[in-house]
Amino acid sequence: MKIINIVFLFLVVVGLALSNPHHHNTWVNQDVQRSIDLTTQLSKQILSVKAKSLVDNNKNYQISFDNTYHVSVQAFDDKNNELKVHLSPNSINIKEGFNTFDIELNNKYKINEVLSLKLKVTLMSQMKPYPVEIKQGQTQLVLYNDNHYFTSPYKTETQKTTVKLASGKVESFSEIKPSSLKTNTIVYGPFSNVEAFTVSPMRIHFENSAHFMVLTQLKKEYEVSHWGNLAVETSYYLENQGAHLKGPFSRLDYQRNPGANPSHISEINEAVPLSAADFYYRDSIGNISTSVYQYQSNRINFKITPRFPLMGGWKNNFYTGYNLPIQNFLSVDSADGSYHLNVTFGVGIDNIYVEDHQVKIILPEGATDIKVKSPFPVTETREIRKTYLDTVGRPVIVLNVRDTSFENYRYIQVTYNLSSLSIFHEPLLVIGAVFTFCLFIMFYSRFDLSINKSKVN
Amino acid sequence: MKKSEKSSTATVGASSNVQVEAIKETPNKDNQEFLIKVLILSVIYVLAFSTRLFSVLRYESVIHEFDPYFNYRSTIHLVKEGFYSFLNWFDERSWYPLGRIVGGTIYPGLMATASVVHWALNSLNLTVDIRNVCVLLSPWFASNTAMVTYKFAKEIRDTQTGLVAAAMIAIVPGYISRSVAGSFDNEGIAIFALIFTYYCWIKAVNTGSLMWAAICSLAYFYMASAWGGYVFIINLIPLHAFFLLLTGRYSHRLYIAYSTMFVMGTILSMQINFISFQPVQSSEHLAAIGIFGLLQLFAGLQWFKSHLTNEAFKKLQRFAILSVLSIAGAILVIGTATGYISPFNGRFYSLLDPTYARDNIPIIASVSEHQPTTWASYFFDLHILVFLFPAGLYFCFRKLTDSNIFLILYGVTSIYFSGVMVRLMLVLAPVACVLAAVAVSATLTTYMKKLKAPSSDQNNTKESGGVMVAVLTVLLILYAFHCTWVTSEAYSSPSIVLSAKQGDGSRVIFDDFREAYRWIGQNTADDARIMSWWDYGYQLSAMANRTILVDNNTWNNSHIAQVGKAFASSEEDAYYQMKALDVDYVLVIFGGLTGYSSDDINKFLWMVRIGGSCDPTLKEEDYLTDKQYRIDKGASPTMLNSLIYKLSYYRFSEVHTDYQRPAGFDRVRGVEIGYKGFDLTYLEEAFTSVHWLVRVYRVKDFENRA
Repeated sequence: MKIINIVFLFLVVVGLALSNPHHHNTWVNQDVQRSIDLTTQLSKQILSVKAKSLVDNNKNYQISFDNTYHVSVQAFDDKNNELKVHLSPNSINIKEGFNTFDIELNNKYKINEVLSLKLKVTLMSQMKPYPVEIKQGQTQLVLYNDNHYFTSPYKTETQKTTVKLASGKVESFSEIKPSSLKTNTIVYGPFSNVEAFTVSPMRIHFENSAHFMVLTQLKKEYEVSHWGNLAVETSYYLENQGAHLKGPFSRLDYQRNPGANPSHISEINEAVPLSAADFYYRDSIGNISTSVYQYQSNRINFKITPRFPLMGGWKNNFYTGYNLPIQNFLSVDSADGSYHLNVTFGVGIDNIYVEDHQVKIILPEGATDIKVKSPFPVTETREIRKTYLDTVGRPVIVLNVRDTSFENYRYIQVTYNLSSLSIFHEPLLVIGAVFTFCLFIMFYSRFDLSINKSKVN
Repeated sequence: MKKSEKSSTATVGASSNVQVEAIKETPNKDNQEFLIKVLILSVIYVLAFSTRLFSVLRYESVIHEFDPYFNYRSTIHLVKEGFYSFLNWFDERSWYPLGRIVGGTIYPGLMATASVVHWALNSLNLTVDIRNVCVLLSPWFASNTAMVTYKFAKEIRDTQTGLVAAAMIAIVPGYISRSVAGSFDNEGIAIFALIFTYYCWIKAVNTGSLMWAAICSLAYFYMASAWGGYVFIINLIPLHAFFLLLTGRYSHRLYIAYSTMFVMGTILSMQINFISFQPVQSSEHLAAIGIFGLLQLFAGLQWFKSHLTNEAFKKLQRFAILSVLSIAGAILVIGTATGYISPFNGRFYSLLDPTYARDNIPIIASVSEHQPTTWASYFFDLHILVFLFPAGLYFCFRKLTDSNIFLILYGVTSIYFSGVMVRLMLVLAPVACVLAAVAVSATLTTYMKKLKAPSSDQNNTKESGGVMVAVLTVLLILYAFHCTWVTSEAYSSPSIVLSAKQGDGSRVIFDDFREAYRWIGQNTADDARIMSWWDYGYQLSAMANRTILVDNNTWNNSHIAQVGKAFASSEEDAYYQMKALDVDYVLVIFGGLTGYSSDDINKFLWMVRIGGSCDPTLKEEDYLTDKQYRIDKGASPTMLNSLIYKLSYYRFSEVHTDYQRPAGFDRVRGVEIGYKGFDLTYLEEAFTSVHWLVRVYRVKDFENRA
């Protein structure tokens, strides 16, 4: 059945590839080396691609993924410069069932010129716990699904895939010739002459005690104050998407041996800039006293302990916050006097998977000509927020990205103009209010509004 | 002059008398007096607020205790859904499966006040969180109470008394106990409303002004919207009017004040859903109606008197009094017989007869704040006011006026009520402050005059004056220290977070309640039904947002009795009872590991008693051995097999709490538990908090019948 499916798929793929060849024969992959790291909840892949241009003036290289995958892609050229990657505008037309990304190359490639690329690919949620429920004290097994081949809109001449597993305990793995398992590493390939869009399902069932730490929502807020402060607040909607806990949760067993359930989440380590101060950690019912921050050489390790350990399937949400000195993040353009704000987009937690990531940047009241520069595609909207001592409200930039990972812990830049006088707006408002009040009292105490002068005792 | 703000403010009021006296001679004394007065009052204002912030500084800005959590949850509902939807709110998440009509069963004043403050701040773009508004509302109202008390005491006596009274009430522990930051309860704003109503009443009686009587009825309306204690006002004011009549102090001022206040106040108070027709139907309000009638009769007769001969008047008087009395009596008898006029309710009965609740209604008796007050707590909550109170009464009696009579009546009645129920100490505290202020200021004025007097006439009195002033100053300083100490030690822990001092002096925080509530809120189905003893109902619904069976609004005794019975039954019996109530999870509080003494095992006898009040098969004796409540080997088998025992001690026998003790040693009861190593059949452990304070069990599904 499976073979028939594959053959059928293959035929369809080949047929489609042949039907509109003008799109896809711009490159041929000469050699692809793929290494997949499955030691965490994510599939972290590093690919080195050597491709030969088949046309002149070639400025665009494409890669594809099954459209059910949650994927983030970073591309680097041979000089390690990051290249722009975005979903191809006619991705649907290129091939049904696949998402195809455009990589904008820095130079134009002539015919037969060879391009060498390094791709960093992260597949999220391709690893699923199986069985889906385990008892307290049992270890977690996962099932990993992928393609044996490098999914490409181009033909690939030679390729090889190395899969590094979290443990040597492998229940089963899909075998295709040639393939081999050595302790915790599976090697698929080398394969030669694989046609474009060829899919051969890879399935690996193995033990993986990694934390399946998923933030179903992550909301980060930067509030810029030109008085010297950058306030950061992050809300986490945390879920342990590992194998669900079946049956009772015994505190006694947990206290006796917390290591018996390695996949449960009892703390989160977040990297925070060294200059951060005034930490807080709360949820909707109040302060949570269990958090520590440790100074390290290049960062602060903010150790967040949830109110309760998150066993498989358990959820919790909370928020943290801290202040940063603004001068480390805000600079003035000497040419036109505009302000440049550089802040990180993601959250500094290793191997995290974020389903819905929102960043809000609240600029001072009166900021104009706001522009956002981001190294990866984001959805941008605007809001107005009125808070303490505001009159017209502060402009808020709302950035949204779905399905991201720690890969997006990168800087984005916001440029805006602000009159240097507007910093006095708020103190003047307070002074004005107090002054008006005093004036009112002065006049009120001097006016007599009574109709008759009779004295009431 | 001031050492520190906290310790010296009580004496600021006192020393101000000195200054006020001293500057009487100077030409611009009015301005100086005004300045000093404003200065003192603003210091009092700040002090009353800041002394209540211990818990916020020590812990966090969080709602305390139990009832405030319900108020907080309702306020959030009010802010989100609007006032009308709030009045129509049917809460299907409590009292499962009955639900609760919240809008019609609460005094909405507190929530309305908090949401108005929240709305006002937010419309000024001051985006203060609703939680912070709720947390800080009581301290703010305490400051306002101090200001109103100043006006009240000033109206009764003079400015000096007002200032002393304001300083005293700002820090009196009896009031602080209910108004610290986070204690978001009706009493917090009700005391303000109470004093304000009384101030307006005195003002109305003293001036005979329609406007003040109308303001008084508005204040009464606010009070009625905020607290059930409004009944105290509607009985005290008629009592005052009655005493004025008796002592021959009837005046048109009184007539205007009372008639206006009674009519408007009654109509206004009937606008509150929860009160509705009670002012004309319940016996608690009868006195007010009676006095109203009496005043009309009296005024009518007085008018006739001026138009009739003496003899004719006497005939008329006899006829009128007899007929009115008999008609009123007939209405009362018929009304009570037909049930139109309701008899006193249980809580009111226990006010009149302190032993009533203990004998008849276990659910009222089980609440600690309904216990009779001990002598120690008078001193603890009032300190020197206990001794100055009679002195104040003496000064009031020495020069009787309309307002002094009111103060005497207020003092005497509230001291009786505070003896019945410990929580009514709250009503006594303000009047104790005012009476003490009368005593302090009268004494100081007398002796300061002696100090000021030229020394030629009698050297002796000058010294006695000095001694007296010194003694009073010392007393006031002691009072300030005592109040601060009590506030800091006794009234500033949120009870939702527990803390203990370790051997090395560092503090350990037990945040188990919130840990477990959070777990329930995040990791159970949205419609999960949680069974727990009623104490935790409000907290559960506010913090975990899950459906609960019973809560602190103990309106349905038999429903609580069912829960009590389930906890007292064996696991199997309880299982079917819980299944009948659709229970998904059971929550018990267990202090045996940490030594937290108010846990469910210690409350268990109340569960049995309340359960037994509806089901006679449930007998307290079955759970006792030789009339002793035990959980060790000597405990009765019914006790050892009860659900509460099993859920509290499940797998506890495997834990070593102390090094020299056997496993399963209960640190609260100080004994080794009697039944060890049992398993649960119908329930399973779902969650236990880190210090085992809260244990949550899942009720298993029925076995497959196949």
